Amino acid sequence: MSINRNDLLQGTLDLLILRVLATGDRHGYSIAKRIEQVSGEIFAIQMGSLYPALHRLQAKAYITSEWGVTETKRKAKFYSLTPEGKQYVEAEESSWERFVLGMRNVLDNA
Amino acid sequence: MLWFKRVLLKIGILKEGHQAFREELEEEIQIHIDQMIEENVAAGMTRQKARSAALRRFGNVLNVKEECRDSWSIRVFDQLIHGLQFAFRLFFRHPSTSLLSVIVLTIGLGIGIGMFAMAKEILWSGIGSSHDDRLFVIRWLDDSNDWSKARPKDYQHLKKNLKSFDRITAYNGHRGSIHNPKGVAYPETYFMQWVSEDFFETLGIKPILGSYFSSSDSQEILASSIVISHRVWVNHFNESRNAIGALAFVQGKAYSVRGVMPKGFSFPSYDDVWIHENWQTSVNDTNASSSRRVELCGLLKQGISIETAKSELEVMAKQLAAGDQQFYKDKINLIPNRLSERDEEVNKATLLTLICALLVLVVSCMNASNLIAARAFKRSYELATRRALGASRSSISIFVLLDAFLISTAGAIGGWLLAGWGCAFSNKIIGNIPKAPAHYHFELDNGVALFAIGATLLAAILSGIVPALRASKANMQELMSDGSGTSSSKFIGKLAKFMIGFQIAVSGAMLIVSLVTTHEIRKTLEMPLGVDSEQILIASLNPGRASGIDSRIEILNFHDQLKRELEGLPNIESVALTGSAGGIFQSKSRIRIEGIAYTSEEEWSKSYTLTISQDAFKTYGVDLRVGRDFDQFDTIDNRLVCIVSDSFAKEHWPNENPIGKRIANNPEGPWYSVIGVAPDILKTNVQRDPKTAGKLVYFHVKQKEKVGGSTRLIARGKGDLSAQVASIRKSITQLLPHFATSQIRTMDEYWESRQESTKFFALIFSVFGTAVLFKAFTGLYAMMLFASKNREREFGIRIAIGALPINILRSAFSSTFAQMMVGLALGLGIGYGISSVIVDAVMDGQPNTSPLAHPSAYTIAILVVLSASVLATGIPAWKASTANPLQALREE
Repeated sequence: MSINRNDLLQGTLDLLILRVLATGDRHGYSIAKRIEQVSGEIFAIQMGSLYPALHRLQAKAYITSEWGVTETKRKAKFYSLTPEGKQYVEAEESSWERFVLGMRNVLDNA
Repeated sequence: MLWFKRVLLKIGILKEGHQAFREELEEEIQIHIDQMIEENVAAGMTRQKARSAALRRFGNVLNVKEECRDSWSIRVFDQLIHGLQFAFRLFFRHPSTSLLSVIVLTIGLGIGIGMFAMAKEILWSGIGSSHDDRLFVIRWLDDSNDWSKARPKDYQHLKKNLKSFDRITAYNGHRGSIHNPKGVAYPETYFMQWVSEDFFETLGIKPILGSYFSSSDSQEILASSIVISHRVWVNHFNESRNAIGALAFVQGKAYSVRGVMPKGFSFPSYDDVWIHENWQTSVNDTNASSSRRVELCGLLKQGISIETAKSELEVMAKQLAAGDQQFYKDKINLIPNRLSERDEEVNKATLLTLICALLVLVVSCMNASNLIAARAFKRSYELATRRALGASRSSISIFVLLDAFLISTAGAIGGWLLAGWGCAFSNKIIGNIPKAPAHYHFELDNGVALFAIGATLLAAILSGIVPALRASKANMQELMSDGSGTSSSKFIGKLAKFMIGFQIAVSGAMLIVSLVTTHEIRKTLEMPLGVDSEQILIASLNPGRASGIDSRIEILNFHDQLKRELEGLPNIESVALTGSAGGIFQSKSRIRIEGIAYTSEEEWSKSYTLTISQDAFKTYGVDLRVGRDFDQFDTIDNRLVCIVSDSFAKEHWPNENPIGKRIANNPEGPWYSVIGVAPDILKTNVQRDPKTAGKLVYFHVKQKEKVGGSTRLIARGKGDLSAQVASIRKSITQLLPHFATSQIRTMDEYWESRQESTKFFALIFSVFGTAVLFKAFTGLYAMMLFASKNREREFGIRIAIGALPINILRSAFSSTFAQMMVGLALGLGIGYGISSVIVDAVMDGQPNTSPLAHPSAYTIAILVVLSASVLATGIPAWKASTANPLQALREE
């Protein structure tokens, strides 16, 4: 069963996008596909929320974009992480890990 | 700097333009959808089905586009553009209210900005040192918060032990004479300071020519050099660069000029010459007389707080007080140097004037608010329609706030120009005020610009917030059914009532302040001296240490000799001696009349006294009403005599001949016989107490135990008196080569110069008063407009259901009567309080700003406020009561 946008915790989509971009530059379609693939099809990214999130992160100067050509020779807009974005994703990752640990402890021991 | 990067990114997007952004976004989404279609086709779907599935999966493209735009705040920018369009449309569709609002805010902001520029210079500017903020005057305070100077030995103790200060310098000053034998041919008196060697190093002000004393100078060099002010350099050294090293006599002692300070520099007060004094030599003088005590100024160490320095000083003060309980109290105060050098009363007056100016600004905003509300009210249907079509409350509020911002910006431009003109005008006047520091220069600098921006934004918010709130509630349903009974309308109604009361209070108070202050000052300026002041020259005759005469007999002989010499000059008709300022400044005294049994000194007659010499009345150009003048036989060994003014004689001996009556001015003191009655002259603002004004008793200088002090020479001449000045100086120098006088000028010129600061304040308050008067009317007109729009519909309904016009009027007045009365009473009280402080500060003496002393000012203020309030309330009611009810019910 996949989790759609509404079930995702507020702010997690931004972290997912940033984490995917930490491995290299990607265009929108590729980012969505990668998240779905890495999450084992658990997260189904709604395109309606992907692009506003990409623009939001761009406005926050965490990512930047540039037009390029895909491996299939198609035109696409590629997104990449800025140094500020890298710092942000590192900080968010550690706080997310603490959150998961906390949740795990509660679920296991409560 | 992340925020800066974000701002740049947003600016970049806005710069690219809406069209480019939309096209790029559409292209990106289309590419994404195409990829999804290809994937679906690859999975075996037909192209038609693949396309439908991709579009379904992607969701609402329009929504996605909107959300992307929102990420960049493009929607807010669009709203701003629409808001500005609305504001401009409103501005030009209602030119009369727009113009009136701009004028009201121009006046408010102009007065606010101009007064801030002046207050900034008067209250917050230093002496021009790079470390002004670390310079503090150190003062011991007694129980009544008066301060005392320190003994040199304590200065040395503090200098040696205080850790909070980098330096502490000592100085002590009084009047003295300076004479450049190669310059002008006479010595002149100035205020001088005898300072420790590190005085200038502590202040951190460099001379424009030569150098200043330094701690590294030898005692020999220090003992023989002086530093002079720019003014002395101009007056005595003809601005010559050769002044450095030139010989100058200070108090008869030879010095060489070491340096010339920049124009306008003066410290600690209005000083012109600085002489080195080795205070170390006085450390053993434990009971140092006041002339040997010093004032202290310290340079606080970097990073040390005032509290730390104060604590350290208090510990030391306690140690010193323990050693000498009578001399010191253990309270100590640190005063920023920029405040210590100025007159506290002037500071207070300036601060109060600034507060008044800010109050005028607040009232201006309220006036503008009423005007903005009135015209937003006219656009109610447009706003309600926008609201009905989905515009948010915040966007409606922003529309009205932008209207206020547009008006405030236009007002700020006008205000800035007005303030600039005011500063330039004030700079012209300040140059003529003798005691105003020459470095005062009012200008609209960066600090003032910041204040102006802040004030403009505040004005926009203050004037726009209530109309914006009101407009944001615009509701088509309420408009159709008249929503005067809704809670929001009730709240705005209450707010409007509060605003009415507040405006009446502030308008009343400001009117009282401006009218009473202007009246008091004008009264002072118009008081005639009652003597031929244009034909009388006046000069200071303080013998001083350098003159070589000291005893009473020597001084009196010098006076006699000088009188003979000067009366021998062509065009000099008569010469006499008087008290301070040619007799303009008199002493207040209590007089007892022979034959009256007093139970206490409090019952004695209050009067002014003045010491003069023979021929003073002749020199003043007035004849005695009865009796005779003092003569050479009225000496201290003969019968003591006095002359009284007409007012004094009429009060004490109304139906009797005053000649031969006797008075005394102390309990044990000798009796003085009245030998003459003089007309009432020299009735100036110095005689502030109306009960005492005009009552003057003249004593003879030759019957005084102590002579000298503040003696002035007055000489009556004919023709061009400026030609006589050099001759008078020459005669004085011939008699006593080192005798110094101050500037010699006519009594009229002297009195004019003393009045300059009063004139300056009179001008400020006249301008202030005119502005307030104008504003009181425009403000109340705005209220009227607002009130009329608010209540027209209500009155229309009442008339339609049968109410009589008189009932409408009664209802209108009863609803605002309480606010009017409370506002007026508060305004009069506040106005009385503020004007008392300002008048007291601007002029010497006890002010009387009560309604009894200024019936016309209070009457005008009450009439203006009441008539405007009555009109503001009555006109809409009258209009509604006489109009066709159907017309009143129709909107727009």
